[in-house]
Amino acid sequence: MPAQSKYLTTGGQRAVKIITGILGGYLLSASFHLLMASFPAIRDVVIILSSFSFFIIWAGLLLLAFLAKNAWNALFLYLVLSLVFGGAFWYLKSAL
Amino acid sequence: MMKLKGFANRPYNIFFHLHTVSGIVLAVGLFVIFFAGAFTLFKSEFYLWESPQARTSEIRDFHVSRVLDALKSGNVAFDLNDETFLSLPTAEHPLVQIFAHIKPEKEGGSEIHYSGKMDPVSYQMLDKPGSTVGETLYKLHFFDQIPYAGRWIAGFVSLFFIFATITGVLVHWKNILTKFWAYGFKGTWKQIWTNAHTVFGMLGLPYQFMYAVTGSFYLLLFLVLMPTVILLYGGSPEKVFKLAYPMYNMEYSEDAKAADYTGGIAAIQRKWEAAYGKDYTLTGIQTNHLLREDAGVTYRMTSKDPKIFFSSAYVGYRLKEGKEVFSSLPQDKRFTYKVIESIMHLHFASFGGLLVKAVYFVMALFSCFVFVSGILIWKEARDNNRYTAAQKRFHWQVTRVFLAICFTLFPAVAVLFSAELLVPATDHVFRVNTIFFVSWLLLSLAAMRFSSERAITRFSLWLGGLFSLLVPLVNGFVTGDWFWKTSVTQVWATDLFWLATGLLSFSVCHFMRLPEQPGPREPVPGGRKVRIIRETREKRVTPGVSRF
Repeated sequence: MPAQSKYLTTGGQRAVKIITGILGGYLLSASFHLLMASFPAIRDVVIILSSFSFFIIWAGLLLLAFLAKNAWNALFLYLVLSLVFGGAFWYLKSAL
Repeated sequence: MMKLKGFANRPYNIFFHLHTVSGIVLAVGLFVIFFAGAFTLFKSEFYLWESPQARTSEIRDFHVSRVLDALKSGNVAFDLNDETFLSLPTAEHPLVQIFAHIKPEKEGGSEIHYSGKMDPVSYQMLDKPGSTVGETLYKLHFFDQIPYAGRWIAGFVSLFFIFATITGVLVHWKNILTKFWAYGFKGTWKQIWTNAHTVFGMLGLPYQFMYAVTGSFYLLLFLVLMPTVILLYGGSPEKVFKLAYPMYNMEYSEDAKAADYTGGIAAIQRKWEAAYGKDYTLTGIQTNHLLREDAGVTYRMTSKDPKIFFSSAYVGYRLKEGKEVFSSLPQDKRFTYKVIESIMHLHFASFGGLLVKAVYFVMALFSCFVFVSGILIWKEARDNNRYTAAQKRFHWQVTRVFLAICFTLFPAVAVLFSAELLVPATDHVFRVNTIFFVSWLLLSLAAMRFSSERAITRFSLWLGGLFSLLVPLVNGFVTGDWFWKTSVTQVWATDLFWLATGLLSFSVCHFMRLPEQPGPREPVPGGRKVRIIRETREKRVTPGVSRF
C-alpha cells in the first residue's frame, strides 16, 4: 500500500520543504564543514573528509526537512543555523 | 528473531513517500548507470577484444623520453610548462594516454585542456581513437553523452541515491533483522517484488551506499570544495589538491628561467628502476614546468604486493639534477591521501584483482534488480480500487516504458560490441555510437508496444541472448581469433563471457514462469463491498509482517 496521504504535505508547504532540503541543506552542510575546518589542528582532515561527509549530511538534512510540521520553521531553522555556523567560522578564521 | 521498534505512523509514512518518489524518479537513471558501470569495471580488460589491431602489437623498447620528444616537436602546440600527465601503456592496454594543456591563442587566455592517445610503438599521436566500446559505456555511466547537463544529472542522481538509500533503510527498519533472508517466490507478485527489493537492497546496501557517495564525490565535488576554496583559501584550489594528492606538493617558481632538461629523464628512469622497479609497477608520469629550470616529474606507480589496499605510490624528481624530491609510499602515506585513494579504489574496484571486480559486477546487476523490483512494487501497490482506471493505466504505462528502456539496454550493449568489429575504420567511433544508441532507442520503442511485463522481459532476454551469441561469432569471422584458437586471454574471455551470457539469457527466458498480466486489474463492479473483501484477504496473507 502506498504511503497514507494524511501524513504528507502538499502544495506550498511541500515546495518550501523541497527548497529547504536542497538549498538550505546545502548551506547548512557547507557552513558546518567550514566551521569545523576553521580549527587549524583538524583543518586538513576536515576538508578531505568533507569530500564525502558533505554529501551524507546534505542528504540527511534533505530528509529531516520533510519531517517538519511547518515548512517555514524548518527553513528558518536551517538558515539561522547556517548563519550561526558561518558567523562562527568567520570569527574563528581570523581569531585562531 | 528480534524485531526492531518501528517508527510512528507519521514519520514512517513520510519516509515511505520520500522513498517512493525519489525511487521512481531515479530508477531508470540508476539502472543505466549501474548496468553501464558494471561493464566499465572491465574496460581495460576487454580493450584488446575491442581493438584487434592492438592484439598483435608488442611494446618493446618503450621510452618515456621519446614521448616527451614527440610532445615537444609534434604539431599540437602543447603548453608543457603546465601540468602534463602521461598514462603509460601496458600489455592489455597498449596506448599512451596524454592529458595536457594547449597554449591559449591569446596571451593570458583561458587554458585549454587536451586529452589524446599516442601509439607506443611509432610515437605518433592518434587523431581518432580506433575503438569505442569501453569509452562509450564508461561515458554512458555518467551520462556524458548528454552535452553540458549530463554529468550534473548523474551527479544529482548519485546524491539523491544517498537519500533513497537512507529512506529505504528507514522504511525497512522494523523488519531489517527478521526479513534478512526472506527472499522467496511465495505469495502475491507484490510480495515477491517487495521481498526481492528489500532483501537485495539490504544485501547490497553497503555496496550501493558506497557508490552513491563515491559517485557524488566524482561528479559534485565542485559544490563541496567551492565554499572552502573561496572562503578559506582565497580562491586557489591548489591548496586542496595538495591535501588530496602528494604530487601537488612539489614547488614550482613562476620566475624559473626557460631551460630544457628533458634529456635527464633517462637517468631518472634508471634511478627509479634501481630503487623501486622491484616492488612497484610504473603506471604514469606527471610533469610540470617541463621546459623551465625547475622542471619536475612525478612517477605514479602501484605496489606489486596484492595484499596492500593503499597500493598507489608516488616519487618526485627534479629533471635538472635528477634528484628525488619526495616520495609517498604505502607504508608512510599521509591520512588525507589515504582517504582520497580509498574513494578511488572503492569506486573503480582497483583492489583485490579480478575476483573483486567479478563480485562488483554481480552486485551491480543485483542493484539493477533492486531498481526494477522497486518500479514493479510501485505499480503493484497502486493496482487497486483506490485508484481510478485512468490512474491505473498511467501507472501501468510508466512501468512499461521504464522496463522497456531498462531491459533493452542489455541487447543494445551486445549490439554495441558486435558493431565495434563490424563497422569500418572511417568515422568509426561516430558510427558505432550511432548504431548503439539508435538500436537502444528502436528496441525500447518496440518493447514498449508489448502489453505485458512478461512480453517485455522475454523480448529483451531473447534478443539479448541472440545478440550475445552473435558477439563471439562476429569476432571469429571478422578477426579470425576464434575463442578456441586465440592465445590472448582478454579476447577468449570476452567471447566466452558473451557466449555464457547468451546461453544464460535463453535459459532464463525458457525456464522463467512470469505471470501474464495484460493490464491493470479492472475496477471491480459493485465497488466497495468487493474491495473490502480483497483487503481483508491481503491482510491475512501478510500478518503484520510487511507494512507495504
